[in-house]
Amino acid sequence: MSILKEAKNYELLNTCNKCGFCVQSCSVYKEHLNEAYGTRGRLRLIKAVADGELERTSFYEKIINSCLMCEECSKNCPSGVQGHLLVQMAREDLAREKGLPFTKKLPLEKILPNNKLRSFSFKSFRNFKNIVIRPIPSLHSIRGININSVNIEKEDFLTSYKPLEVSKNSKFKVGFFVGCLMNHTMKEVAHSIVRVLVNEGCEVLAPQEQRCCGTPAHTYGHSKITRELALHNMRLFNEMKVDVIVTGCASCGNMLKNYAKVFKEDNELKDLTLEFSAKVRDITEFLMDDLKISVNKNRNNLVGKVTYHDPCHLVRGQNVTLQPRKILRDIKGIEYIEMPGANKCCGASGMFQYFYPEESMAISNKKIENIKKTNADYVVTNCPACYHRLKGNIEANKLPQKILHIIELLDPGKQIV
Amino acid sequence: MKETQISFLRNIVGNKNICTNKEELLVYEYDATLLKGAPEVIVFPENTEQVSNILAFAYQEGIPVNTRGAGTNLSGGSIPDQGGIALVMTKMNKVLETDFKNGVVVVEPGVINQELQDYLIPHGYYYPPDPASMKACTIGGNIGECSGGPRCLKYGVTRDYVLGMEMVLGTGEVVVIGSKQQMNPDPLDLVKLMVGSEGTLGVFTKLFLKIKKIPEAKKTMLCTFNSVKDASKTVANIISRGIVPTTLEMMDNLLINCAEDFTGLGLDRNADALLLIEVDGFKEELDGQVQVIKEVCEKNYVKEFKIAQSAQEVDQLWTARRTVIGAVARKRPSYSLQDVTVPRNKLPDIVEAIVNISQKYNLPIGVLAHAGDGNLHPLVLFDERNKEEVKKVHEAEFNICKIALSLGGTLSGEHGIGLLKKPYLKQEFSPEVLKLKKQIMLAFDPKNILNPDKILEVGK
Ligand code: SF4
Ligand code: SF4
Repeated sequence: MSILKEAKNYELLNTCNKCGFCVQSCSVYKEHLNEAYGTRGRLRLIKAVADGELERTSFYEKIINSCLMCEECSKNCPSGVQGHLLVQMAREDLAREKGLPFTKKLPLEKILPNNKLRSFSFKSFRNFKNIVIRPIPSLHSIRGININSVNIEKEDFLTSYKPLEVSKNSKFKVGFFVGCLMNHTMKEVAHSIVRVLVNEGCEVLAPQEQRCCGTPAHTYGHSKITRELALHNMRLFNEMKVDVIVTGCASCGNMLKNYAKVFKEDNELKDLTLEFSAKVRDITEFLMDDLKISVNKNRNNLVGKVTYHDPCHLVRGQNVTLQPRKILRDIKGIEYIEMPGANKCCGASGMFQYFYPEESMAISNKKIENIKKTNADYVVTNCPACYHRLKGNIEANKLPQKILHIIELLDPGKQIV
Repeated sequence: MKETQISFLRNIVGNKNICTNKEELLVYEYDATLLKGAPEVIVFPENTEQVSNILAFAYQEGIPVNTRGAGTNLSGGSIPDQGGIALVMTKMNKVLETDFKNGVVVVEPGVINQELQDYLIPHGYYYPPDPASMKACTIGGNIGECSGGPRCLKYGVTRDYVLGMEMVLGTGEVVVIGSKQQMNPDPLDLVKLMVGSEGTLGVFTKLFLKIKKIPEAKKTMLCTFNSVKDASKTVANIISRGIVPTTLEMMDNLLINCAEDFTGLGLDRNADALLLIEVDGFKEELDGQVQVIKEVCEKNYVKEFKIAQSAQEVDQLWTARRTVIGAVARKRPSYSLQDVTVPRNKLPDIVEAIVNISQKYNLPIGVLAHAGDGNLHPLVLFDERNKEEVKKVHEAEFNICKIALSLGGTLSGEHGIGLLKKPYLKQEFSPEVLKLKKQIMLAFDPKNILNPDKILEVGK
């Protein structure tokens, strides 16, 4: 039986009363202006499949896969329908009933979950990029993704990480969940996170065996891999007996916190999640809410105007909006400017940008227009995926802005200018 | 429809603007009601010429055309229950001209109400009609239904803000009626006739709208009561003291609780009724008005009287109000919304009658009211999969409508007739009036292809 027909799932599909309030909030709908791409339409089609009224056609697959998982619909639904979760459920149904295509299966099943293979892929890609792509400008952008702008580390962060000295009585024992993208492409940012935490008196452990958080697999309905990764990560961090688990990636943070929801009926994992998910914090959340640090000193003599982009998985996924803004408002010497539509998706959304380049470009272009309106010198965000998407687009559009991860503004060891 | 007809349409709008996929037909079969009916083809025109060509062809072939905006309507009006063409206006979504000096804006019908507001606000202007669905609904749809909203107590409904339009008739002819002037000396006012015509008289392609300067100040008050009667009396008394608030919205206990579930604002879950009152105007006038309103509330045993302290608080209160209809669906999977208007002083009577009906049929019924206008939205909660219950819902609603009429009220305040309220029309209008209306419809749409048989059975 399809999971769509399981009683509790089927009931959820029937909670949409078709008021249409969610439709305009869906960025993908806004590009098509066709109901099928709006949340209400997607839900209607999922229900049609559940009711046996519609086959799992290729058009249906396109509708189900062309969702950013940005959670706008869920936040805007007065009836409390969680549109993005229902789309996720439909993807799981598709993966089970039809299987995933090779283009998704390979990264989701083989590469991302496997630390060695993933490192190897990133490294090969680095060589390929440096030797083949870089000299030929026409290869710089693939399907609207500015791959030339993505830095790939020669050696990833976790392999080279040595815990820094801390004073005897550390305030917190912190487990640092780095995340694949930060590990392989933003090593310096990861070091900044460690330095800031250590300066605040924390002991920071970053176990090398940590694996992918499971977001990509979960997003495309590969529940087996998601479960495997979750089990591994939870055991690893639970055994270390850390006080908190901190991340600088919005999507990882969202997924780690969501282990508790995703596996609430999984008897083996349930207890592990209770210990694990409650400890997860976004870096800004941890600094502002738990450590209550004072940020008014300008730690890297930065001057100018900064603006902030809210990652979907932070603003809606984790309700973290005030902490990063407080940081940016409090730092002396810089001027914070709120960007119009700061919390709209940047268009990246993992593999979405590759499979739906037109929609993705159009959504990114709106972000670029909003960035221009701020006249800021720096665009700050809090998620490696958004960081790369924004950086790629800022560079492709030859805008003057520089992109920063928020932690860079708090790390005196970081030379920004 | 025949394959040849579809390819003719394809030539008009181009490949990317036409769909016949089963999947897409499925998502154009509904609106915000429980009714259904799928079109045979969906077209998205991009300009007036395409609309005109589509209608000329439909006229020639006798194909039904159902014009649709965002499909948030509550009347079944945008359901293509006779098949044919769903003419979806979402791609005609530009603001074409603005003339702030004269307070006029020209827009295409697919512009979203909220997006028009967002465009105007930085210039110090706004467009007063504010249906609860304003974040989701189109201006074209608002005009087709003559939408109201909380603000219409002071500022009037959509009809008061439409100066003129370009539109296409049921024959394909393009006409311009009214003008971009604030004064339209037109003795046979066709513009007013078009507003609220529910897609049966023509398809709008450009709309000339009146906009207003944003008032200097406003104050928002939240008042709770131990009985709906006290709240209703407060409403009547405020107006009789000569104050016209911008809005006077009422929610009953059921709705207060639903709104609280969605927003978590800390609304009083035990209150029997809540009034959301807003006044606007020049700063110095407002304090006096608030004082009078407070006195009236106190005389009517207000439980708590609160003035919103920040713009953010005001926003939150309005979000609570605008989303409450959907929030109700948290209680039961389906709801059905009625739209009746009674003379203001009859508010307590109709609310009492609704409470009785709710008990008699054992169905939860919430009451939401634009109380200042006597416009009421009883919300009946049920489960559409339970056929027994659905039958009871219809009976309960029929009774509510009958009582509204017997109290000297009318049936549609602002949601239109569409399909849902057609059965009640005979009770409201005499046969002579209905005949006149039919003749008017045929004059605009001789073959009865435009949203056929909505509002009234016209027949071929
Ligand atoms: S999660 Fe985002 S992209 Fe997906 S349906 Fe909802 S609003 Fe649209
Ligand atoms: S998902 Fe929610 S907001 Fe969207 S149509 Fe359904 S009930 Fe309305």
